[in-house]
Amino acid sequence: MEIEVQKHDGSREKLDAEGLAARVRAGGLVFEIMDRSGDVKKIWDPTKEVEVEDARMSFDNLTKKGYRAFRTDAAGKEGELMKTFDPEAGRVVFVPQMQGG
Amino acid sequence: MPYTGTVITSANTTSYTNSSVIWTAWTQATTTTSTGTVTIPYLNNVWNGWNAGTIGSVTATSIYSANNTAWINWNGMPVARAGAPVYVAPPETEAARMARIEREARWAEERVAQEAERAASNRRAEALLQAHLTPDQQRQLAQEDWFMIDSKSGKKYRINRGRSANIDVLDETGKVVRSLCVHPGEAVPDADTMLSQALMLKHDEEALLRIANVHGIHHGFRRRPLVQPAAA
Repeated sequence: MEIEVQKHDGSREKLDAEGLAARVRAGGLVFEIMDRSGDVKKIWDPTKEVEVEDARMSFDNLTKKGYRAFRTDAAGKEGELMKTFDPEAGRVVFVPQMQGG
Repeated sequence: MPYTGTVITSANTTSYTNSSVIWTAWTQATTTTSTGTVTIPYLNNVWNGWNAGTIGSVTATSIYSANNTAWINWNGMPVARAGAPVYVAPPETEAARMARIEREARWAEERVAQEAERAASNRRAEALLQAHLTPDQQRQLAQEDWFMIDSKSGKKYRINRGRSANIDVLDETGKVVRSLCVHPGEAVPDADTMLSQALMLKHDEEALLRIANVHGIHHGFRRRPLVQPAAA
């Protein structure tokens, strides 16, 4: 399945799962933000200061809204809860605020 | 469905179609007696009619007698204040018919688009979930519609496909002892919900347990019958 990722310049790129993992292994920062559409993927280049700042702002905005950020490895298997932004986190899944049902 | 009935006035009898007969009768009904008394209940005519009570009267031509206005109205014997205007739906014009057809076609297209969007959302969420499952968990999900989570506290959880009360808490023998209900506040696809639950159980278990509502094992949210391991 093709995965659409949004780049910092607003353009979109289509990758497969392995392509996305390769970007993360190469140092890319990927946000996977869950929403009604499944998720929105954003990719940032941690070597560019302006992208890091935008990624930090995005991280802060989401966590203020109640999202929890989980860092995972390139393949998305292992991870940990992120309390603060880390530009070298690799692949980060954002989970909307949870509630008891 | 429009109600077709007959309005009886003091002057004549008129057939009409009206989609709000019940409401009209409920709020404006009048009853008469064969002796020529028109009873005009107001404020609460149904209650009065139901109880055969009357409030005020004027003399009018006899129409019919009723001690149970509400029941008669309900069963298609509409009554109207003598001389009161009766709404008659105008015939649909060609322009109105075309507009209706276009409107219905647009709604149908919107429904199809919404379905396609929902299917795409589910596919994206499923891909995200699969990307974060181990091969064992992928196999469990494909075969059983659930996957296991071993938390850092040592507890075992089973996440069933779904959104509500879909987390089973297992004891050391693999027996389900209770269920948890906790999910994203946003209406994300089920696969996103399951990944959220998995990530929290693995990396923020205490927070999830603080939020979750605890259910017994027999609840109405199961999509498949609960199968417990055979007793040793």
